[in-house]
Amino acid sequence: MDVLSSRSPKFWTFLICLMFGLLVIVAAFSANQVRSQQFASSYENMFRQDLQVMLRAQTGLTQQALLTVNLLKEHQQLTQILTDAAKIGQNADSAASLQAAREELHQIIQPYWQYLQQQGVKLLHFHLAPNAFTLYRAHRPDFHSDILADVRPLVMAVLRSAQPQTGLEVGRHGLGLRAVVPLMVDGKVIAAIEVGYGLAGLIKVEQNPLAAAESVENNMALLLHKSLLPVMTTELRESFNLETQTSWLSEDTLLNQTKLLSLLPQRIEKPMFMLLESESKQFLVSLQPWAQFDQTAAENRVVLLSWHDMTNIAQQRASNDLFIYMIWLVILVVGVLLVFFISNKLQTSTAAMLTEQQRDLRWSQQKLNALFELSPDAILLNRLSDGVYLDANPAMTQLTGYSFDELKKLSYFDLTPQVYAQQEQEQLRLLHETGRYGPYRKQYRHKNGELVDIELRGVKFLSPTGEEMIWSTISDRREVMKLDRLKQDFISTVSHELRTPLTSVNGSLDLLLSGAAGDLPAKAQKLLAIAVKNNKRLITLVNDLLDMEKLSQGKLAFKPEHINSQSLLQNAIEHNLPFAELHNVSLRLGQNVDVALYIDSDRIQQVLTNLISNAAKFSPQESDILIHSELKPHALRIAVTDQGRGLTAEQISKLFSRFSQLDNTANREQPGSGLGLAISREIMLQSGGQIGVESEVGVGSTFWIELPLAEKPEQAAQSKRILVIEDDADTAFTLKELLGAAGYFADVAHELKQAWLLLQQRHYDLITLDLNLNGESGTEFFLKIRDSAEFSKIPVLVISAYIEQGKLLLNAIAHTIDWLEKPVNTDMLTTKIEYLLSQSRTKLTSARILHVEDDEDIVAIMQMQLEPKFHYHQAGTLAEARAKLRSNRYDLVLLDIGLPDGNGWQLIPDLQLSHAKVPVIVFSAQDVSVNQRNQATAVFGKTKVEPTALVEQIGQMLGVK
Amino acid sequence: MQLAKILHVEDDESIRIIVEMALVDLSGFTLCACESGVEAIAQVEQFAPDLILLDAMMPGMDGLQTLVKLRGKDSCRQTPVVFMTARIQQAEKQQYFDAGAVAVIEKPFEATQLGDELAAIYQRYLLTLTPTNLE
Repeated sequence: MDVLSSRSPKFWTFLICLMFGLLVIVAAFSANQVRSQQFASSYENMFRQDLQVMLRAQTGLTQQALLTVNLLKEHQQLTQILTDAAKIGQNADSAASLQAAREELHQIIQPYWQYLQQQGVKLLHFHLAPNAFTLYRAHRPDFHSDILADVRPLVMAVLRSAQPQTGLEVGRHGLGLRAVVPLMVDGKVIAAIEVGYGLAGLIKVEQNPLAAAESVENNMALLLHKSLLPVMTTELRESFNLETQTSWLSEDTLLNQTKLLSLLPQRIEKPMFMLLESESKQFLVSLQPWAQFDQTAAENRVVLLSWHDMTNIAQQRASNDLFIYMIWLVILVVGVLLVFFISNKLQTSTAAMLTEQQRDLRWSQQKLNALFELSPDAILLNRLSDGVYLDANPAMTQLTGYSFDELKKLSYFDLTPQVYAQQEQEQLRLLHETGRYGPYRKQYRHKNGELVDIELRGVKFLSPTGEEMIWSTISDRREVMKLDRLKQDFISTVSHELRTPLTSVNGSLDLLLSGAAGDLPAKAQKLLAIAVKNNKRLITLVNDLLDMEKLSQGKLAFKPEHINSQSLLQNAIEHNLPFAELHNVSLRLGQNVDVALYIDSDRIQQVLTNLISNAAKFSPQESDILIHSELKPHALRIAVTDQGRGLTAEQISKLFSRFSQLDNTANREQPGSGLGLAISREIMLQSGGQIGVESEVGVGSTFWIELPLAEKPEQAAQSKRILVIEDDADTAFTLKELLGAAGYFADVAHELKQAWLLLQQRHYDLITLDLNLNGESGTEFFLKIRDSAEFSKIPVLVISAYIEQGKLLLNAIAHTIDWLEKPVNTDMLTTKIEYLLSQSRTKLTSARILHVEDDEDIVAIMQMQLEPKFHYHQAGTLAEARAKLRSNRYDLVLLDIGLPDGNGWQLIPDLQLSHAKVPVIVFSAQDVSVNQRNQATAVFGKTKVEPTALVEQIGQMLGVK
Repeated sequence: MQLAKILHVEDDESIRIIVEMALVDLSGFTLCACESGVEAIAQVEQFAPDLILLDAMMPGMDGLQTLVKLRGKDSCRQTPVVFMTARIQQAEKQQYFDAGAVAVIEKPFEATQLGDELAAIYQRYLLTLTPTNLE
């Protein structure tokens, strides 16, 4: 849909129209083809008919000739004369005899000849075998006795084959239609009788009856090739029009009037037809060559032609075509119009839909925009790749003091103090992994320099262009923090203001009751006891309320420590013995196991005290309270079992909620705030444990808690975790085993990416690093660790086969580092690790110092003295110092004033921005004004103070002796 | 060495009276009760207490400030100090230990037990001292 809609609707309309047009044109063309074929076949039919007619005419003529000659042959007298003449022979002596025969023939023939001439016969010959000796010519009786063997192929054919022959003959003597029959005596050809017709008028004569039978438009004509001129008789010449320039001659006047003859091909080998146009008339011309006996030319020089005037039909066809084309055109136009109409309709309806969508969209934008503008929480849009601010609402301006335009120019850590770098990393990881981050709390630096407490949360999403974006909402926590402080103050005040009078009351009552003010009457003592008991209840209530408050706010700090369960239980019993005695019950330690726990023992003691005191309060006199423990999966269960009245299920369900004191009437006399179990439950939850009760009415109750077990109790206390970075699996395994045997936990990373991930997930006390890791550079990784804010304090032991090279690369760098050559010596490994760990311990308490100084001698002296105690970093120029201040966190800056690229005082604004409360010691040979002095924490003259004194001063400032 | 002389600094008069009854009448100590840090500083040289019981929250100069001033007095450099506080937050308690307190007693306290408690604290304190410190 996206691809379609990316083009304009006009384009699609045009395309559809174009395709429709093409379709129509193709259809019209195909239909025309079909019609043309139909026409062609109708022409062909016409041609075949013409051919039939022409053949019939041809056959009719030859039959007529044959009939005539056969009639003559049947004449007895004629054949006798001829037989005799043949016998006479053709020599000179026989001339007289032949003359006699000739005269005899003449007598017989002349009557016929008159008749035959009327029938169109032009020629009647009597030939003698074998050489076509002319015995008698009817049309020229005086012209005879020539031997025609060479010039009369037709006659010769008859004399040789003894078969009658008819056909056209082109010979030296003329052109005509001949019929020749042989005369046989005793199976031998002795003579031949020949009848000849002239060509002039031959067809005309025949045409009329046929033409009448076929069609008025049908015309037939005999064509002669111009090359026949030399053999044409005068009669023929007169009959055929010789004026034309055409190759073919015709005697037909109609035909001669047209140009058709000039359009005919030179040679006509076989029957054919053609459509010819002449003087805006169309003719269908059929041609039929007439086989001839010809001595000179192989081609047919006599052709029958038949033609039809097709003008009317063609005109009709043309008008039909025009009509059909018109119809196609109409279809085309209507179709295109239809497409336009439909597309237009669709467009308008789509446009209507679009405007509706746009309206909806605008409305939803307006709604969201209003929210965006109105939101009391700052809303921020950042690009994930570079953190650029893309959008921010007015609340953001209010929160930070920067307008959006100013904000766009800021870098990330202009707003976020550097100390949050590590947390930022963590949140970024969260964002990458879960698509969300936060809620988390940090501070922004307001434009006026003030730090603003905020809470952020955000979600990652993809922009339409596929870029990763972050929406963040940022709530101002200043009010909350203020309230929080107020509340804390309130709690503190309450605890003080309530407890002070309670202290007095409690003390007075205590002393009174103890007889410090003299003996009291029994009644007074009884009343005092009531006062004491209720006062204690009041104290408990105040304490519990404060505890509950702190617990529910998560403000009660838990300080886990290693303790054995046995001593925990014993302490609990000892601590509660007086109270138990007070209630006249005994505490007994039952079956128990001794395991190592890692808990805040004070808090757990508080829980146990609560459980034991409850049990004591609700136990019958002189009964036992059993305190016992057992192991559960991953936990230790400590239980306090009493022999009290027990609890119903309903009572149990309410047991751990606030202010639940069971059975009001019976138990109100037992002092207690009703918060004890609720506090216990809260403590247990926050310690990662559980609390519960099993009870049977009339038998007693067992309250239990479950505490998580410390992992590897013997080792956990001092075991350090080491990250082994080593690509070789065997070496890594060996190192891990060695370190394990030496009492360290070791994790292995085979590649640097994995190592970096592990570093971010766990705390490591030391890293062992191979320098050449399957192509990855351990040196670079080392620099990355050193430059990072969070891992720079982790000591590194380089374990490599090429330590000399490594030292060359890394030695100038101040970091807790040591070297160990491969193959690894076990003793050296543990010694070096222990040493590094001890080094890092002393350093961990120490701070990071940036020494901005260009004088190499002073750098060397200070480095020597400062390095053993602190993380010493050095910058030779202002630019270098600024870069280091941006990417690192320092606890003290030692600043020289005269620097190659400026004045050390210029660094003060940078320091105020990123290291606001960090002490700055100016150590310079230059004089310092009062005003300047106020900008620094301390100022020392280079000539006036010994470096050792300066180092001592630094130590004092950083709290290191 | 037995605990004999106690300097008590407390702004609340009721508590001063109770402490006096508890420590003097019940336990038989010699007590110098001061109602402010200033008074304590004025009294301490002359009184030379074995132990100082110091209220943490006082108007003007509070317990911690008083302690710093007291430590400035030669005779008072080593004197064990026990804080008494109505604030039971752990962090606050730690703050007193960090400032050099040997013990912190929470208010409300058991008046009848106070003398015994301080005596025990004093004994424990003596044990932590090395012979050179004792001289």
